[in-house]
Amino acid sequence: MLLCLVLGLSSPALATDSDIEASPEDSIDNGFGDLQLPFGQVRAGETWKFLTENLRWAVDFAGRINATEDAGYTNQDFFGLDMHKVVSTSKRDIGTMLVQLYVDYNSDPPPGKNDWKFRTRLLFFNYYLSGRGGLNVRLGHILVPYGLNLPSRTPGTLRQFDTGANLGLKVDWGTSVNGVLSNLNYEIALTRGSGMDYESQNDPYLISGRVGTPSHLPLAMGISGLHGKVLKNGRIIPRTRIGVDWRWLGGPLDVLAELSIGRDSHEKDIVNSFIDVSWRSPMETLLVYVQGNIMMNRGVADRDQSWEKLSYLTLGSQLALGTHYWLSADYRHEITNTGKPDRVRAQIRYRFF
Amino acid sequence: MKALSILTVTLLCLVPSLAIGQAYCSLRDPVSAIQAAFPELDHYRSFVREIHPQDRNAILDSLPFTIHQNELGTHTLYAAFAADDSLLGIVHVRTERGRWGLTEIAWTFDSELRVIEMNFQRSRDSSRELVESKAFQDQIRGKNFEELRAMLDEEGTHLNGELIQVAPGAEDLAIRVIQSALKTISVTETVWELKLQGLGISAKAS
Repeated sequence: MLLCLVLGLSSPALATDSDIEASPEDSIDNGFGDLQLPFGQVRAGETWKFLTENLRWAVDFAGRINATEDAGYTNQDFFGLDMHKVVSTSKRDIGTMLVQLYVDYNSDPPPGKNDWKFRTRLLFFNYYLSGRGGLNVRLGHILVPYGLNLPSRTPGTLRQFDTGANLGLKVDWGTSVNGVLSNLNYEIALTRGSGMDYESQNDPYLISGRVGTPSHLPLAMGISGLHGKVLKNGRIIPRTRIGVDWRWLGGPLDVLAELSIGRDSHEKDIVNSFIDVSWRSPMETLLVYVQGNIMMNRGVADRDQSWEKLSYLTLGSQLALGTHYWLSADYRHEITNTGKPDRVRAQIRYRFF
Repeated sequence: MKALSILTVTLLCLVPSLAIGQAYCSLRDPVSAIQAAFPELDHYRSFVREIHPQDRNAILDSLPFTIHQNELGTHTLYAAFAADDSLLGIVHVRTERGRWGLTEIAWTFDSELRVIEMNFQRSRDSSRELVESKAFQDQIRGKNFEELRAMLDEEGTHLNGELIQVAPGAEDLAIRVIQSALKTISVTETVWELKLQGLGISAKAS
């Protein structure tokens, strides 16, 4: 279905078969003759190139051990395919398709869930409405554009920012407009509000967006907003957030920070803050990071009361072993006194391509 | 728990060997660099190619210094076009070892593979601004492989002060940037040769 959408969307730009020209090094006869597609004809010998040109793919395996203080071990395994394709005519790119399909195993699944589960991590087509990259439309299972969640830099890793804890979801089904202008990046999305799985019970929805300064500069800032009804564990949670994020890359340490304020369920004021300080080796084979996370909430009707606080300190590391293996580990400790157990995780990841 | 804690600490202390790869959702086109280099830009086109070990040998033959095994892999060349489909130039992003992590440089070239400009996509170096300054860019703008090669000494590891002047403190980064330009031209010619011919770019100028 997504492929049909991709092909359909490409019609304004992909006009004739002559646009899909095979260069000498790419031309392979597919043996099936000419191929008729919604946008025109692909000649025999060019179909294979159209499908495989500008394509990256990798098989992605990971095994993870989670240990919580005095609660034994659980393990999770991930088996997936990561595919990235730029769809182009002879003279312009018309969009990018990303497919990340995984089968996950969880030795301790949530109640009522199977230990094996098929997951669509990300699955979208980003259609370039303007050739300059200033206006694109993304459709599919996308990252929620909020704070440090964009640009994506933590897929499949133990190192995560506070998006999930703060917003309740990191990815969602829907659409966004996005682009890069001379002095800012932006993405504004309308999504289902159900997160990993598409579910429509109780009509969840989410409007989210981020506008930021160019990310290639040493100091980048962004402003984000989010409003909607999030479906979480079968329950609808009205949720609103406004946030600001900073990314500073200068010298030995990178500093990423995010501050959000908002309200949950019309009855709780929320203030969440997050900081990530990291160091990497010259070839970035070793990454060491420290994260601090302070989450505060207070009843709207209890403004004379003090905030309820939950705070974590996380120490983590990521290490490349060869070009295909990555080892990572982290340790999380609660700073406040609500009795959350310490947590240690370790992961080995293998990407074959 | 105790055993896992020991494993965690061990992992935190291990000595690294090679580079870290990322999932493809982290890939980004250098849109800002393309827009900045070509104000008349109307659209661009990607050409993804894999750099093979045999390419590395050919590239090494043209360079006075070595390149890392990790610089193989899949990379993208961007061709920028005006509204009438005429070629404005090409953009190629190269990743270099930096003092505090990898440095990414977006190189833009004209149809003769002469430098139009360079933009850091990622750099933690304190002398970044000096190297990105107009004073430095003016010295490399319009230069081809041979002219850039002459800006370094025989081994390609020191600046030739007669041909290029760099602000004090920025010498190391300037050397890496010029090495990167040479490497980028060589890689582009070697790996994208047929595609360059199709775009009307004269490959193998070096």
